[in-house]
Amino acid sequence: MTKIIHIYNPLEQFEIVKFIALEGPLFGYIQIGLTNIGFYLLLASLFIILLHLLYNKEGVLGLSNTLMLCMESLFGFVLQLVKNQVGPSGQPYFPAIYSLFLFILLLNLVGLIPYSFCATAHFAFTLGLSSTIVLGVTILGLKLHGFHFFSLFVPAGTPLALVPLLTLIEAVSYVARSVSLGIRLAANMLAGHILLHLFSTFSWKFITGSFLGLLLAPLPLLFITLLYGLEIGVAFIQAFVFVLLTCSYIQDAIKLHSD
Amino acid sequence: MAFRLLRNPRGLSATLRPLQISQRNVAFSGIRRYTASPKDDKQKVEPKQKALSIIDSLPGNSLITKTGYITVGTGLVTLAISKELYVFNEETLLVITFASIVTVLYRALKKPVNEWAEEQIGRVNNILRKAREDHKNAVQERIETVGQLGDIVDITKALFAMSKEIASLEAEAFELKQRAAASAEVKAVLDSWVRYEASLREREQKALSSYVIERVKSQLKDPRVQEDILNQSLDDLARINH
Repeated sequence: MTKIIHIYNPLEQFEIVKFIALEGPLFGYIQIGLTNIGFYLLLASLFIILLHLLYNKEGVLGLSNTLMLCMESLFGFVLQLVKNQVGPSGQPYFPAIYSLFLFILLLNLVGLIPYSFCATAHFAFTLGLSSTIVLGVTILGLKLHGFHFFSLFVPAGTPLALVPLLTLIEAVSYVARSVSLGIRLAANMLAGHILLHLFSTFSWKFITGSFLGLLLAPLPLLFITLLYGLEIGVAFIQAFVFVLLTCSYIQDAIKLHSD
Repeated sequence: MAFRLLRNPRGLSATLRPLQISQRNVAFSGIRRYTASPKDDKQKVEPKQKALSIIDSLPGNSLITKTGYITVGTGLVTLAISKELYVFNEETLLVITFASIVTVLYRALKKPVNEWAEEQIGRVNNILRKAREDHKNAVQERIETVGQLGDIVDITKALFAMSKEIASLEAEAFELKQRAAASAEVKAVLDSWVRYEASLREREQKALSSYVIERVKSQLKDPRVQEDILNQSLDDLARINH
């Protein structure tokens, strides 16, 4: 006799659902709607904007000094990162990098809340973001150096015979940045969320399956709690890695062969 | 055995005595243990207090409202579950674990973050206070400096009068200097004139004397004059002899 265990698909949490949708046979067939990913992106953006608008008005939101100090330290942390990675010439790009860091961090953390949605676990979103960044960095490099920017694809001291091959490799590597940057973030978040849901599903089955399971319930709960702690750490680290690499790409575009 | 013990009081007392002693020993050893480790005694919370703290942590002011809240809460949860407004499933475990980790992190980080924040606030406050003190001192110093110049109007007036006097004295001195210069110039011209006149007179006298000498010499060469002189001399000699 086989026992069938029914479990939910752990990928179910990543399904994109339309909250509001306008569809009609207009201009062919248009669909205008707000999906859950769009909603969370809007929510994160609005939250960051609102928080910074009311940053100095302590009385409005009742922001405590501690929260303001935390925001300041976060600001200082990203500023130091930009200074270290890009140098003094990278200061103009700090607002973009700071916004990017907060945006990704907030989306990562919001995604960890049960019943919510993790936008950064979607390759479509992260790849779009990373591609936009790499494209922007390329435009920046072309604007700063003109066609000399393409010297980035020829490492210094390359023998002439190897130039075509290395240029090809470097060009592929450069384009791969846009993919790797997005995939790294999405894969990490996706893996963490799948792992959490898998463990929660197995734990649920274990706890509800028998009385012994119910007695031993604290063990899997403790394990999931620890996993949650790990995922919170991963959320911070991935946001940090994303902006760190963005800074590195900007530095490449500004200084070309400085290293 | 129990029956036999009951029937024989001596036996019972004999049997129970070691038990009583051992209980006393246990009590003594307990006392010793409590007296030996007062920390454990302090850390131990009274069950009544623990229960009261749990009751106090519930929402509401009185026991009735607390009971009401619990009843209403339980009823709502039951209703939500029975009407399938909320379904217990795997996600519930995630809610529990998420709440746990958030609580743990909050409790673990609250104190150090608050301490850090207090330190930062204190540091900034100290900087601001020091800056305020410095500014206050600078302003006070400036006030004192300016205060010393309180009678600046009188001093300026006196200085102006003095400068006017100096100017008039300078003008007078200049005038006197010019006069002295003019006098010196006149004196120099006159001196040169005098010198010129003196030299001219000297030259004329020299010319006159040389002319006279030449004339005398030429007359002395004349025999008539020589004869007259000789005669005159002889006459003089004759008169002296007489």
